[in-house]
Amino acid sequence: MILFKKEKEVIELIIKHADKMEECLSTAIKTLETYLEEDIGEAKNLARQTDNIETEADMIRHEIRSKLYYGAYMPLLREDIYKLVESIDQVANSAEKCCDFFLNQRPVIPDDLKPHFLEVIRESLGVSAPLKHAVLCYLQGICPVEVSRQHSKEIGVLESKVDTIEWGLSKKIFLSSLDYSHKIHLRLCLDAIVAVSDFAEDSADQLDLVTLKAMI
Amino acid sequence: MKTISKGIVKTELSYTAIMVALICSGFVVSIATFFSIPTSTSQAIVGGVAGIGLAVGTDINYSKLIIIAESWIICPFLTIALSFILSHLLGFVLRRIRIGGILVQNTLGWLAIMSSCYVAYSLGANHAGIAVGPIANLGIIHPTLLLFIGGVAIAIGAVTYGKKVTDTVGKGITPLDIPGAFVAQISSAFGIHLFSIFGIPVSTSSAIVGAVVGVGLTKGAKAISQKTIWTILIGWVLTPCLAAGSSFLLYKIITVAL
Repeated sequence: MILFKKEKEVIELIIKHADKMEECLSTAIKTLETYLEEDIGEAKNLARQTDNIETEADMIRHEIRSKLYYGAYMPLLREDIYKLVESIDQVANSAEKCCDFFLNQRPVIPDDLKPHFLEVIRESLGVSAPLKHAVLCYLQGICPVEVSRQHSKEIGVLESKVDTIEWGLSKKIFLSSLDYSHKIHLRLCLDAIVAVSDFAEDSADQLDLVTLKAMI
Repeated sequence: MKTISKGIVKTELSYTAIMVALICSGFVVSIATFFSIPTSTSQAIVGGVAGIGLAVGTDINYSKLIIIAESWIICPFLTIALSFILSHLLGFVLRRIRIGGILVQNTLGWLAIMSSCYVAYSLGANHAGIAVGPIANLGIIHPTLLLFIGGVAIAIGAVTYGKKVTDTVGKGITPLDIPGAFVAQISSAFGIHLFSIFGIPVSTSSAIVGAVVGVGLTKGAKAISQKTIWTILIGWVLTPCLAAGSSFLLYKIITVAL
């Protein structure tokens, strides 16, 4: 159908971008799991893959921007669409940064804290699935708007769960007998992990905003 | 113009009388536009003709005048109800629709633009005819050229003072989003069509203002700017009254002077 061809192309690109974000986060989880297993060589390979996927996501984002610049959608909607894409891109960016943090600064995770770090990594970076579902639901029209908003709510709940785990882990770090500098380093490491779910929540909020604007 | 004048006054009006009514109603509409009030040209013309009728001393068809005035009151209420119902209906459909929300908004935006163009086209066709009709019958200039000049004048009016009224209707009454603007356009067009089926002359501006208020009411009464509404209502009352008064006075002055 010729009608709204450019607009449909933008939707396809946003879905492709969301796919890349999900792929980026799942590769980042694998990277961090491998790092915690102390297989640094494989973790480096996976981190490189994460970087490449994030670069591909960036390229798609630029393509979306070009399509919007050349007249896809009404000017009033372009800002909302681009903000949504940018917020999804931030999620992938934060996952890449998290991998970079681990492989660049090589934080030493004590064995007793490893299961807790693994839990927070899986929960924080596992936020990609509901985020992608919410985006697909809204753009592809595979479910009513309420379902899309439900997925957004799920992301909020997940983010709160991550915050709770972060609080507990942070307490454990600072109550441990580690050096203060080591504690601070682990705290920074934790910040990098939870940033992913924080950005995912921002993205869900942006999606909610776009959805609300479409309602009367 | 002839149609309106024949309906309101019982005798044929002279061209001088018609010209006075046109000038005065045009002047009143210009003042209202200057103060950003979306007033109706037809209200001004009806007032102007009634004023001329009183000045000439001819019988005025008050029953017709009352029917027209009633339509000015009923029409906004009808479009308020229409847009309120349509807003809820569209909201219900949008929540259950299984196609992309952004794409729907984009489509609604284009439909709103197209319906605005249609309303503007209808207004241009009608009002250009009203404005130049009496002169066209004098045979000074070819009617097509006269209509072209009238059209250019309407375009100049839109460019120079249109923005003020646009702000009042689009932002002043209630902030409109894309679906809201679409509903307002559709409701006003439907309301005008419904009145024309029953042969009642209706004001497009009152229909549109009513429709915008209806959309705003879906968000609650507080979403409507009471100050703007009162200004518009005062403008609607004053427009025919001032047009009638000024036509009466100007015609009297002209007849005394001549």
